[in-house]
Amino acid sequence: MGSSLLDRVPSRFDPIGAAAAWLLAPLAGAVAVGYAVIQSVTHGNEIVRPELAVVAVGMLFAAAVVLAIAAHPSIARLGRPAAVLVVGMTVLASVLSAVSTWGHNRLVQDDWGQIGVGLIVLGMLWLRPALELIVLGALGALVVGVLAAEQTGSLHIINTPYVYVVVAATPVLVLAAVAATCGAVISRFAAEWTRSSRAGMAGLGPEFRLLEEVALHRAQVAELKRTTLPLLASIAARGSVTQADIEAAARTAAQLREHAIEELRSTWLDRLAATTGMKPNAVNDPAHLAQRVPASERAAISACLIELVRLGLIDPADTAISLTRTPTVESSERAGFELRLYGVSEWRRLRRATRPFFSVLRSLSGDAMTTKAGSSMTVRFGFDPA
Amino acid sequence: MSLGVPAQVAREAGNRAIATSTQVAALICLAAALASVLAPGFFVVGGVRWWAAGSLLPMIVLLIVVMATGNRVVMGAYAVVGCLSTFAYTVAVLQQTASYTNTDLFVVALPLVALMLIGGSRQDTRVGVLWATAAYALGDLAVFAAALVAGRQFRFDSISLAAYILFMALLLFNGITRGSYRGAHALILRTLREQHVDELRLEVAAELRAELHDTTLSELAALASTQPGPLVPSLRERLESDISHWTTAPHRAGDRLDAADHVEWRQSDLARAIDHARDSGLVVDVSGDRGPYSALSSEARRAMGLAARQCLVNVLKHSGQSRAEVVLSASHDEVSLVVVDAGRGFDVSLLAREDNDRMGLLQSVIDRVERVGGSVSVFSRAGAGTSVLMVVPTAEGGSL
Repeated sequence: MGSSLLDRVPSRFDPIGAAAAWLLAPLAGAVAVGYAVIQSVTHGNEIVRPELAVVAVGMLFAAAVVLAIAAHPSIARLGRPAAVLVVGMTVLASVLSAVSTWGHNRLVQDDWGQIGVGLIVLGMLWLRPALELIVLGALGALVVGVLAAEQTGSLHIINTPYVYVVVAATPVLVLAAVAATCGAVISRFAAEWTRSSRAGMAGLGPEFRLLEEVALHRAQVAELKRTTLPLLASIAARGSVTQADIEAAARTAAQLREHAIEELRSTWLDRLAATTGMKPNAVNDPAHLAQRVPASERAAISACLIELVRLGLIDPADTAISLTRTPTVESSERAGFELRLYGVSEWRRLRRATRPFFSVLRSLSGDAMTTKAGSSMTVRFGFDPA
Repeated sequence: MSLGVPAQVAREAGNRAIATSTQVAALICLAAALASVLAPGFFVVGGVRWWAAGSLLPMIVLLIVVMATGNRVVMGAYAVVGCLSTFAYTVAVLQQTASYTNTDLFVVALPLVALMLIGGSRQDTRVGVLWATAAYALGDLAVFAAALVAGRQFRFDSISLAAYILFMALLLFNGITRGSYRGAHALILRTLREQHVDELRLEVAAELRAELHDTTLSELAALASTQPGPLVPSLRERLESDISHWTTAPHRAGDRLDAADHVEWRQSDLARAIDHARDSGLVVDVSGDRGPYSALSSEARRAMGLAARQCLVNVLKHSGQSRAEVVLSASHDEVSLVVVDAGRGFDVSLLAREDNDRMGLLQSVIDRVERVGGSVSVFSRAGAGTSVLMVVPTAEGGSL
């Protein structure tokens, strides 16, 4: 595995997988908190500072909640500072827990701190790169290891401090290693498949182009054969031009030009509107940005709309799309895409149906978001006009 | 950034992620066990129990071989040797530390956890669960025996049990989630392809418009601006050239005959089968001459196309691969088509059994091709991929 593999956030490479597995984070957090509570209760006789024990569990709970919120499909993002904060809170909770039993702790293996840190790092599997998970896990292991070593002399089992370090640090290292390895493997598979898929798509280009050339050429010839070519042929055969020929030539030229301009005006959004049954005026694109929406974003939003219509979750006639330029602090150009779905009733099904597409959009744009207002839902994402 | 991965890649990635991560976790457990048994001895002259540490080495070596090869026999050896290693290690650890009065200890659980994690190396989750459970049970027996030898109380350790439950939960979670939402991926991929075609169509349409502008529209404009009367000879020549251009001149795309074959190919069942597989996320490489296939009778083309579709569905469902190859070839009297994948393969002899799970291969591939006078040969073995060769006689050379 190359170093770049360790720097990749798995959810960016497999956003659909991340959307499907988002529950990992809240489940890992719930198990950590549940384990902390059970261990605190069953080993309550070792606690000498109960207030610290309560704060410790509370802090672990807070870290788990932050992680669960960050992992939710509507956000699915956890920046490096936030990841450090979450692990930091968990490590601090572990320290507080150790202090709450200081001098009265019987067995390091019964402490919940190391399991809590490990599980929280495991919960970040989809959200942070493998390298960060390893570093966070190693730092967490170091802290809980030092804490365990510092309790030498007061523990029930008499041994060297190094064994206490092993007992405390191993769970953190194991769970962090599982998280980092899983993330790296998922990223590798996704990157490899994406590469070969793109190559395959590019390889199909000439074949598709030839097909289109043939089909359009045939259509063009068929159209010309209806009026234009017979007119030209009759004039050429007669060797003279009448007033009626002149008028017919002007009329035919105008029709051909008009038809050509119509084709030019047609965008992928017009075709999407026609496919899904949206109203012709449903697309608002005053700055003509439609053709500049990147191909992947087009595919994701189109597929989302097609799927929602297929499932009968929205009325295409009650759907609107608008594209606008968005102001940026930097000199770079940025535009926004907004899809509005009105008259939504089955929210639960709608959210579930849009989840994978939205996850892909977020992975592509970085700033995709959904909002709900009354019975309407809005999907927004930004893009750099191509 | 990507659009995600298709179902079969997601499953394979999930299984591989579980396998690799549990192997790494097992290695860390064994390293920790090694440290646990060596560390106390460093503080007593001559106290290092090298033999105890050495008892873990065969287990570590076998684990590394499993990581490198994934071989089932080595996995079995790992489970057996691992039990012996666990026994020797546990005896050493219990004898070494007087305050270890029973076996409910983290340091005792370490090789046990490493043993059970071998179950993660299996592709099939159900088989993995069985391996993990068997290894865990055998490991616990080894610990029980070690407790007897060391004269300590055997107590079922809570750490390895918690690790077992967590491991099972991880396998279950992977099994439940890795295939979810993948229909969305297929739809996005299909939409991407269709939009790609739309873009190409617009490009071609723009080129045609330019051509139209330079030819017919130009002549029409010239006619519209002329006066009634005899046609200027140069304009007449241009009109005739224009008519000839649209009706007889070859299109700039090259050989029109090839292009027509292309259209026929794109509309064939085989091309549709390949598109369907591609929409489902399979990368399909097509090679060979398509002409002879297009020249087959419509029944033969359809049979071959639908048979190929089933083969590609099988690749998606069973091979664990994201890539397949379709190779077309022909002789004077028959057309051959091979669908190849480098996946996990299967035992071909099972095809003869009534309860085999490859009924699709039998009914949709073999029967279908045989009905149009063709034959099918299946080359496969476990772990070595699958090749399905279909041979159909041409109308001239065969019985059709």
